[in-house]
Amino acid sequence: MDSRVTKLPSESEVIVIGGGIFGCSIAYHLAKKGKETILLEKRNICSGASGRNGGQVIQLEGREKEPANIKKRLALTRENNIILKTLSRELKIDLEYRRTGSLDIAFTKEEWKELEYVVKIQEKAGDREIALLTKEETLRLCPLLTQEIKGARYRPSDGTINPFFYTRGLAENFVKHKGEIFTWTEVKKILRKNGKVCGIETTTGQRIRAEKVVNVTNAWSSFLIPEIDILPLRQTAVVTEPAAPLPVCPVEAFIKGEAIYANIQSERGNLIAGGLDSFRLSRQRQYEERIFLEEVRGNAKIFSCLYPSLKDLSIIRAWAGTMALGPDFAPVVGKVPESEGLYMAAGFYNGMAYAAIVGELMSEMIISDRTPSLLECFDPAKYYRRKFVWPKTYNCTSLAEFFARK
Amino acid sequence: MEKKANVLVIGAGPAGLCAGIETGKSGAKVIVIDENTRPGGQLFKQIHRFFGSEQHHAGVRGFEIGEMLLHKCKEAGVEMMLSSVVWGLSPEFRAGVVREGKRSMTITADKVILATGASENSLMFPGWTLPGVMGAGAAQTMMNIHRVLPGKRALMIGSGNVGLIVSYQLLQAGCEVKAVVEILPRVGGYKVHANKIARLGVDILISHTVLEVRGRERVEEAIVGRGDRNLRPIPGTERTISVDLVCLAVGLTPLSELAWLAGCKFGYFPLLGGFVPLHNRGMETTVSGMYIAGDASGIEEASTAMEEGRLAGVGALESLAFISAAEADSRRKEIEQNLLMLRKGPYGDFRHKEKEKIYSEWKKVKEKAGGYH
Amino acid sequence: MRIEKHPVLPDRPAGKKVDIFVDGRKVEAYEGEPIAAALWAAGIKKFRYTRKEKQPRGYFCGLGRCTDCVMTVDGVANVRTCITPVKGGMVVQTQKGLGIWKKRQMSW
Repeated sequence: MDSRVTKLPSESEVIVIGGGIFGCSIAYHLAKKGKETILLEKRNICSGASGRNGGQVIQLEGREKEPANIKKRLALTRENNIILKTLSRELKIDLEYRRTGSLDIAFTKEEWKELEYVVKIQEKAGDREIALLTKEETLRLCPLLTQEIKGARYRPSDGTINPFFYTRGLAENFVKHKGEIFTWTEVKKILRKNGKVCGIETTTGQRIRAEKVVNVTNAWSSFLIPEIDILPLRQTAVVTEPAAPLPVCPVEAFIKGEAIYANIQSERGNLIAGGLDSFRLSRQRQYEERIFLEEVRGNAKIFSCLYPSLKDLSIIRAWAGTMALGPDFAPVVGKVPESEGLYMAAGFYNGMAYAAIVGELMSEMIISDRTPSLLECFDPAKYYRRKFVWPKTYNCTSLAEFFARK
Repeated sequence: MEKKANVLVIGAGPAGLCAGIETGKSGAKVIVIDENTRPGGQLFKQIHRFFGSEQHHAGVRGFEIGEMLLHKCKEAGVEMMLSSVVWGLSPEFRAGVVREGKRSMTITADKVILATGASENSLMFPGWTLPGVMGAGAAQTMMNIHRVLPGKRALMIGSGNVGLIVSYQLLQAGCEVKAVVEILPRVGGYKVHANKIARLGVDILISHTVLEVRGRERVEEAIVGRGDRNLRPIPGTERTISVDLVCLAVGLTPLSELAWLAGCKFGYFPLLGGFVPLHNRGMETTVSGMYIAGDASGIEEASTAMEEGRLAGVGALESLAFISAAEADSRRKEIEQNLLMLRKGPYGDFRHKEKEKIYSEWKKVKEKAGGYH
Repeated sequence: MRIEKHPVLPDRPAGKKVDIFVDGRKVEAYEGEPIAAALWAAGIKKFRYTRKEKQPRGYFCGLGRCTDCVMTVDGVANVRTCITPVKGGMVVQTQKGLGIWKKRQMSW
């Protein structure tokens, strides 16, 4: 419902703020468990980062080298993978979830060494299916890739999903369970009194009472909960015209020092390539959703470096979107300290791999008031009121360096 | 590759060419860019004589006007870039261009004039995707430019000027026009055009619409039927017409993607084709230094498009100090007079009113925001 | 069918006649005219079949916008025939679904 034409209720048991993949997942699970829930969204469902990504489901993204982090992330994403297998049936919509496997490609000898090291650590930390592929093995799997590669990290159970169907499917099923969605409804502040949450106020001055509020606005969450610093991060992508099915799978690679992912094909045949951020931007500019000419060109160039034989495919669309990172490059999920009834989930670099399980666990947490063990390590208390000195301007690549140095 | 210009005109149809001539002849470095292999936009398929007064080329056929404009462009020193697609436009007026599907380049300009025209609307009914159903403009291109007959027996959907004129041209080219159907209870276009085809024996079926098009892998017949006051088909009035061509002349929509990209504010003006970038009397959009002209600024006619192109050009010239304010004012006055004449009468009046609304919406936005960027 | 005599338009400028090959069949065309016009003149109206429903599609907007008329030309899929000029010896194929690129097949 559009709150510009429909009246908002005066109260609800739970208010979920944010109509992205996490908001819809949490709201769906709450409603399914019989909790009176409303969802408020500033724009439309799936308007932010949830609708501005390649749809890759990568269980352990990046080149994570910290065994403890590897363990806690994998514990969640494995569960998520299990849910995704049956979620299409549950939501009665084909989410186009496909296990295509994923690659992290090395272009230089140094990178190959890094991958060897990463794979060793990740194996040790419990990732049993991860494998290191030689150049020949990689090209057998993905024959259109450039011959320039040295080898790759491969995880067969990674894959892709249609992020729009995923989000909308959850949203529609939330409504089926008597949940209510209000779009074009921006929350100005979360109302708190004596260490307790008591509701929200919209930008049009309307108030809704609630004892439990969940802030899942990701890149925008620090505007509502300034005590926890979540860093917005802008990324860009281009989409090609549809092509016949090609033997490609989600790829992570660093090309010429730029972070890039060149994603699979969508079910309709379009290829999505992106991730490039060619210049550093201020924190404020990370919210820019228009894409710059250089970025379209840069993404296209890197895409054709990766897949030289596909360079004649036309680009038909491009976008920019704002994701977010938690202070340790890790997600922040759970109860917000000193505000009873206030919850948050933010900082997922690859939300598609987490949203289903986090929705289920968060709904349990909100109903039972106990933190599930899988979520303990993401407790917001760790970052509460802590000051972080972020770089003034940054992009994905510079942040990766920044975090590596810490 | 990088290229610079004082004025970048996007679109080489009547509006774009006139904008190019106006700015080029006063000394500005002008690039007119178009994605097609030849300039002129839709002018070269207009083989009918234009209406209006003498300075609006009354009695001259569209393609002849096209030839004349191209000649003037050359004289004015306008650089014409063809087969070049503008795929992006930044608020700083940097345009991303791909030439001939291969070479990528950037053009930076002080001022931008958008003259991107319009595209034909389509209409959905069972069979609308069969080969042989096409836009009326598409049929016109095929017969008048490429000299290929789009069909032997045609049905025209829509009796606006495009529907009437293309029907006449189909007859001229040797195609039998079985009927023109019009869902409203009156003919949409000029009486003169309607009479012309009526004299040649073409029925204009008012309060009728197409219900279905049938055929094995191509158009073979069309079912038309009468509609009631609420435009719903009345059962029992269906009849089958044997045709191999169905033309859709159901209106145009402004092509304004580049204006969206550059951050222009829009308004909804259904009588002018839908969403239109707001602009002032001098054709400047809500983004300072970006102008719009022709069908992209609201669906009208080639004659108004040409005048609007000139107006946009005058605005760009004045702000770049190629001409004095007094000179600009006197040129604008003349052009506005012409436009006023073109927007008179039962087919012009509403356009005049809608345009006035656009100007006042533009003013409101500007006053509220103090400029968008 | 080509329009040889027109009451208003001057005679068609004499273009260079060339042959193109459409699904193996030799078709006469004028160099520089859109592929779609050459095909229509030769009575060919089906340009491609859609991916899911396998429905035929032909010439629709004539401006290069709707992409209804795409075919596989010289091994490249999704070529908009209404705006792509004819060159002598072109190999044009009715496209099925999204088509297959010759280049891609070679690289597999």
